[in-house]
Amino acid sequence: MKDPFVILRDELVEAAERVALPAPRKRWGWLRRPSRPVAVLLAALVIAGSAAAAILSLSASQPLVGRVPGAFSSASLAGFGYTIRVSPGLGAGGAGWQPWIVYSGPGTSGYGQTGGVSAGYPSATAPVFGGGSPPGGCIPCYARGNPVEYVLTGPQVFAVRIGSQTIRTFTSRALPTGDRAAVFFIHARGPVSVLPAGERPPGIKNVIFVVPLARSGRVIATEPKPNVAPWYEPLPSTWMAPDASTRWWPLPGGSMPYHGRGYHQPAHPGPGVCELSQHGLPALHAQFGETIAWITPVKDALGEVFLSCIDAEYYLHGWPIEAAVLLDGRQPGQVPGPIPGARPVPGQPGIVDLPTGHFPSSLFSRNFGVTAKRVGDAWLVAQGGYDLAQRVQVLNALRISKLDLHHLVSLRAARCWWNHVNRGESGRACLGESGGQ
Amino acid sequence: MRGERADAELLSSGLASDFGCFYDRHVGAVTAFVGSWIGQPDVAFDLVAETFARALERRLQYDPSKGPGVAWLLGIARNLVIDSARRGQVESESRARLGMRRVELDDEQLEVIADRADVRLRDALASLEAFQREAVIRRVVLEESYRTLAADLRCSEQVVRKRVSRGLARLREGLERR
Repeated sequence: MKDPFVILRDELVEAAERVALPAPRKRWGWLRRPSRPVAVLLAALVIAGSAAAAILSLSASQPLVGRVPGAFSSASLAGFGYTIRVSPGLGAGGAGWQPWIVYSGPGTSGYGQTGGVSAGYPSATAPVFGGGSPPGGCIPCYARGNPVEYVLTGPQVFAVRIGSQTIRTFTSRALPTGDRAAVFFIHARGPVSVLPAGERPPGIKNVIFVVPLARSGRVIATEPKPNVAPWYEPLPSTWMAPDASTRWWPLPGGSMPYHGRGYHQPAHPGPGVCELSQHGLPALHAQFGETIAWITPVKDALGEVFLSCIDAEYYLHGWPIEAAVLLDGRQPGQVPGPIPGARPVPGQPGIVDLPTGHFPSSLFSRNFGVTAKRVGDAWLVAQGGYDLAQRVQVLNALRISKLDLHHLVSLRAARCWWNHVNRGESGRACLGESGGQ
Repeated sequence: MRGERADAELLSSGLASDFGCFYDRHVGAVTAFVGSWIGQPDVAFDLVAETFARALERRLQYDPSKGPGVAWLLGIARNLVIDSARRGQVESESRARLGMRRVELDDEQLEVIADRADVRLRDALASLEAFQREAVIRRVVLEESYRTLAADLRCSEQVVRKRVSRGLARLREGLERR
């Protein structure tokens, strides 16, 4: 038996050797100018315009909801139904989408995983924003062959090339407005990573490279997204109720390591651009949350994106429910678009629901269903809980008691603030600037 | 400890073997810290792995003026534990980006992890002197600023930094002795 900590050490040292290597001189060599015959073909495709689809050998995508081919078998996911959806990210100050896939089959409670290339949104230079099966996402899925893969892209992606296949993307009301998807079956055992071409991490196995193609057939150039949160994202101010240590932590036997005399973390939400209040539901307790002091519009997003200005984790009868206020990401204050895939809740005017079911294979076996209602120019959202009825109950008990859109901070001001804070200064002077980018 | 190379030096040298030394130095503390929150050894191991992978990715962001390396690592671990709980799964983005393979664990290896993660961190903390214990907990676990701590404890920031640093060093030595 080899000590797992020694194995981990070896893995880390190997990874450290790889990251220490100098970058190849032609990092984007794979994007080199095409050979002459290919260039001629691409030129022809451009001239042909919309006829490109007919010239390219396109495969049709699988749908977002379907069935894995083959007869049902307990050793694989053959015959299982699958559902791919996206739900909005709720963390205050963040903008983007969380993709997920759930497999369901007879006699099982199902398997599911969130994840993807990186939760986020598509931009001009990062058109692929979701898909893939990150290692550790769903071990039973890997063990059973992990047969369905998907790619979420921005509006500019007409098709994706994956190996020898070119798959046409499609839009759906289950996707953010304007965004597209391609779904395909694979035959792989073990984790599979779907990555934009050119981003291959050294040594990683089972990589599916995605080459995004424009309608003309042209390859859309991509740039790697930064590994850390964008510098302009406002840092959320976190708070936690003093009694949360025994309630909010969902792990059996777990509690905050310390909540004695030295506990001086904020026990209530700090001042922020958005605030939530509750009434009429005494059993509802806020336990944990984040607020932000200003909003930076997401100018580079293509397609719909929401921006969360507050999030808080409530507990109701022992069930955690996360609530958030979502704004239009590109133009906060405008009416945000629909929640992708959400349907009206019968008997609850103005409330929509995106059911996800439970994620039985996830660490905490939680329900990630999203229920929302429009409040002015925002969505008030509840995620999790026991079921839809509980989320509706919570939504009806919550109010957006503050929504201050005067604190829009441009990217330039945010960069100024970031630089000041990194130097250990307050940076408040920078935030005197306002307005869009 | 005398003659030991500083964490900042190990992280910034660019040598893979130095990162290995950094790992050796702190893996016990990180495992104990994660183990005090997480009861499942496979999940705890995943979190330890992702913590070090994230540290490797961000090794040049470590600023020794803000505290010792182990405090920085435990801060990463703490954030990962909370994020993983809130998202319902252990994050693995850093390992994926670094091309690290998932370590498949058998029962015997799970026992090894469970054993090392079962350190009673509170017991280890209890072995510290009270002023060190409070400084360590408030700085590392509760992420309070040195300025706040100094004001509360009525001493200079420099004194608080020393208490945190020495407390963590003692904690680490205690955990390594197991």
